[in-house]
Amino acid sequence: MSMIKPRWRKIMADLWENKARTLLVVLSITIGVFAVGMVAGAYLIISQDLNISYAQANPANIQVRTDSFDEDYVNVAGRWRGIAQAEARREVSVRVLTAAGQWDKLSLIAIPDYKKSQINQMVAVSGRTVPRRREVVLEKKTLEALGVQLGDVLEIELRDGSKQVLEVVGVVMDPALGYGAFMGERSGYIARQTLSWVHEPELYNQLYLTAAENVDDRAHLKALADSVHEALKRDGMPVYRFSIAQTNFHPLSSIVNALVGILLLLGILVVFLSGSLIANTLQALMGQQLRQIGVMKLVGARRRQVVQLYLSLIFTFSILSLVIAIPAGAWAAVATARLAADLLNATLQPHTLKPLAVIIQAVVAVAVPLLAGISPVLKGARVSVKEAMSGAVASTGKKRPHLIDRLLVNLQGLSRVLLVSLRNTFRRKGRLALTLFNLMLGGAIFISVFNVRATLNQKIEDMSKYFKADVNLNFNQPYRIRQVRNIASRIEGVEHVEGWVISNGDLIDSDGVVEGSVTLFAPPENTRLLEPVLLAGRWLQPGEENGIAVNDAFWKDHPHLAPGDTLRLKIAGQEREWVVVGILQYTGMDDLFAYVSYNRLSRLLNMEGGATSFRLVTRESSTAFQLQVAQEVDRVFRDLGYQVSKVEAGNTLNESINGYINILVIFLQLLAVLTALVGGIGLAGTLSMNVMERTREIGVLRAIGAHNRIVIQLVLVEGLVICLLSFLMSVMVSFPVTAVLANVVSLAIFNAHAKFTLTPLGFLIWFGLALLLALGSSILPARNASKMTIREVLAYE
Amino acid sequence: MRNIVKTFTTPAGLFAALKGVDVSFYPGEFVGVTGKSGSGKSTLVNMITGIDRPTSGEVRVGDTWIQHLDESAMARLRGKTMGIVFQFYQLLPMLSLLENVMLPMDIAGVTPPERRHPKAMQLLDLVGLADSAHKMPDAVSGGQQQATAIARALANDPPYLITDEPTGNLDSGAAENIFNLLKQLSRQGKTIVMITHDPKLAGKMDRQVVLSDGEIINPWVHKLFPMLTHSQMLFLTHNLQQQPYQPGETIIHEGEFIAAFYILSRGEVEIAVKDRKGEEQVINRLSAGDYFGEIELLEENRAIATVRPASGKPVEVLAVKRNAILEILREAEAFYDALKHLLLQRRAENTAARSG
Repeated sequence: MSMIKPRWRKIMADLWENKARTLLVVLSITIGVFAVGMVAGAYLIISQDLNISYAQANPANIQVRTDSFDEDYVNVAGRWRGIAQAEARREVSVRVLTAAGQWDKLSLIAIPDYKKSQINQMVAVSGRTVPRRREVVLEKKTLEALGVQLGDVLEIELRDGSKQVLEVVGVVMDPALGYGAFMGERSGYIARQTLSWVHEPELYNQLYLTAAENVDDRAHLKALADSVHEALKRDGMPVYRFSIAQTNFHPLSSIVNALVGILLLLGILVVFLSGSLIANTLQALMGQQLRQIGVMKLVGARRRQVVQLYLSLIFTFSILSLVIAIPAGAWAAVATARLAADLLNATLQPHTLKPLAVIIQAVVAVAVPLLAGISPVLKGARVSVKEAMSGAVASTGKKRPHLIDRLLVNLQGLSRVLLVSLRNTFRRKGRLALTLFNLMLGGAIFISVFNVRATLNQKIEDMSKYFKADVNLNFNQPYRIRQVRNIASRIEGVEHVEGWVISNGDLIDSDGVVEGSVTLFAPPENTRLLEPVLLAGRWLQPGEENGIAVNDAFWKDHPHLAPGDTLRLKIAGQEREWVVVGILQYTGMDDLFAYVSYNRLSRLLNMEGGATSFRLVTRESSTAFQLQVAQEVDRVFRDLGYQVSKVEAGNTLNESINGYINILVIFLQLLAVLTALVGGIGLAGTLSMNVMERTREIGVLRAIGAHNRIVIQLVLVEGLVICLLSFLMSVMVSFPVTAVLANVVSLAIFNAHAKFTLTPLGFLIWFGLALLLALGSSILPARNASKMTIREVLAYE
Repeated sequence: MRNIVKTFTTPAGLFAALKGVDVSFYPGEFVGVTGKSGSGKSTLVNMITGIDRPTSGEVRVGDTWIQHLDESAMARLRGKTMGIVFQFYQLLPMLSLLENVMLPMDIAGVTPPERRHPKAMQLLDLVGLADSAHKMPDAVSGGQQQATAIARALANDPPYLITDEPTGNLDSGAAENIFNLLKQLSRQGKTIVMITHDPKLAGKMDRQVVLSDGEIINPWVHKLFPMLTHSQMLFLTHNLQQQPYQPGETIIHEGEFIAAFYILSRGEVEIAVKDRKGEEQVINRLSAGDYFGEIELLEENRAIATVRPASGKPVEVLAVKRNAILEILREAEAFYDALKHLLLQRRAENTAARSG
């Protein structure tokens, strides 16, 4: 058997004989390194694969919604300058009966030739990818949302009110869905031959185009889009909707990257926290090793050798942590990326370990403990043999007592047992500071995550101020408002009805070129269903016919747009000037929205006194009640022969967005829990180190009559004091942390600054958790302390 | 303490620190526990304080048999009935002297809260530290720290004070002050058990319990033969046989063969010889602490006088077998000389009596 050098044997013995300490240090490094591995790995996978997956689908760079055209026009479009490919689709809005027995909206998309189709390619999930007549292939998320299965027969209701059936023969995933996935759109794919089955002409209403070059250059695509727009105008084709997308950028990638970036930041924070924990533990370790260092020096060890020995010990801790953290981090990274990919309709490349993530982990695992440990090791190795053997490092003269000590000495009126606990808490100020720092940051982040969530919810609430109706009722043609109101008011649960005119208009620039499509809303003058959040200017005043309030998306192309400016809109073929009165904070998405006078818009559209869109207020606003009333509204109007296009509960959209926000919040909370965990381990470590150092005092207390309760109380109070102090600090720090975090998240999701919202929930939960942490991490040391016999403790010297 | 055995498991095997010790401490007694390092002094005292538990045997403190109490119950009992003073003071460094003295009162809860401060001040005054009450332990001398430790031990007015070399770490002046303080407390009725290495201090106490190799040396042996080593004393202790005699009985008959050496542990005996007329003459009276049989041991095998209880009261002697005492005599020259000296003295008396 080969001989191991005695000093390496000493390292192994140190690791093995103090298993609890080894575990504590390794665990605290592991948590930090794991968090970094998970987040860095997920970031690397998502940031690459999200775009790869999107690009692999060959997304349309330009997507136009227009009036019916045939395949010949597609061939013409394919020959336009700068266009590589052109394809046609027909999108048909129908209603579908869900497995739960409710009617939901469904877009049926007819693709002329599945075999030849190259744009927006679908990924097969199960069943067939090419539907035949009377068959439908559902998008994966739609299948889940409808609650149906492969082989089911869908009952659909067509625009003319008649019903038809389609068999579900396949499931696909649409990686190009983008915002659609986020907004919960439902889509199914049908064959061209099925169009007649759903009472639609075999003509197309959507044009998908890919650019021949510079597919990622937004400016180039915009110029190309302008020329496409011109060509369509020349050919007399109306444009209802127009969108541009780069090939290699997933529409949500900037949001996702920003969010994962935040997680990465928090991951790094966890590492630093674990670093401070390591520093604490190593300091205590060096304290315990003083005598051994003395012995080593006595037998001739030089300072360099002692330093080398203990740095090797730290390095061993690092290696042990890496052994756990690399596979665990890689697994969690893939799991996180999978979850994100699933949410965003992306496919991942087949890989599990990101070398860069491993390198980052290795660097962090080695560097952080080394940095944290170098000072205690150097200090420990500097002691003289005499100091080491006597166990007392010579103090550098009489120091003036610390302010805290002086305050504590002057503390009167408390029981001496409590005084011992209080003064003990502040004895190791460096250690206390690190522990408090750990717990404070963990707590602040934890609390902030709840505040961020409240802020995001507030944001959604602000958004829903524009969509306050409990039930939205849309018709395929305009109806008299008074008529609809009379019928709707008689339905049980309906309390208020408003008729809105909603239409599209083209924004015309100074050269007379169409810049984009604007969705125009014209609510009644006295609407109860709108609470605009104004960024500039004011809301429309009654009787103000040429005023327009626009959303902040207008600022994207017109950054200097301000109240008083004039906009030119083409509505129903007529170009009119509108004076901007206010700019609204809106969803932050790219689409242009604007609010105008009902009178003027309805006159332009020739539907005075009428509307296609009705907004209802119900007695209760629970989703269940909304759904119930919506179904009843749907039935009543259909029975009366009205051309109902869609009846929707108001909460549906909010719930879909809320779902996504909750997922983000869960990730943030996971990180917060990790920081809390590191804080908790730090607290447990600190308390057990304190108890270890106070063994003799506990023995003395025992000797003068301290029974178990007092010994346990002594340790618990210390834990509680640390917990309370850290809580107060966490509360204070949580405000700036909330502000920063909420802003970053809000900017990423909504493209708007956050409106700071606080919730007591985070504070309360953290208080409870901190209390549990303090109790949990004190109980073991306290029990151990109470079990120690005096003979043991007095022998500890 | 009854038949206390304490064994420790060491890497070298079982080690018996106490081998069946029986000892009692009575109210108001100031008892020194002495013995060489490793003789079992601290282990013995730890049995009283409950700091350690006997492997077998029983310990009673007041009316409580403590060997079965758990740590916590033992701590409660200790808090109320015993004050413990350690060699290295063991004051809590984060508390002032006053707070250190008040601490046991807070823990035991016997003294009402409003009485604790004045009582602690009174105790500090007793040990001469009233002026330093608010100082921290590291700001006063070792002697003052030890005095504070004694004040702390007295905080709950316990009947027993157990001290482990309280003066071992102090200069002679401070040591004397502390000792006087303890002596004064014992006069006030406290039972004080004090471990010490200092034979001079031990000599000033009411009684000494001397330990050697985990056993108690017979106090008479220790007192009468200080020239012996502890292991020789222990050897003698092992070979002692307690023998009671009633008035009218005879311990030794003149002329008979004797195979022992006697220490008188209780009562009085008279030594009688027959004169020339054949009449019995009492030539000497011995009392507890005297020994006899040395002439027979060293020079003759037959008794040269008769020894019997005097004053009509029973007596008790400790008999050492002849072979055992001879073995000690072979090793201990000073012991031999002491006996020889006594022998010459007694022989002279004997001769004078016979001829008279």
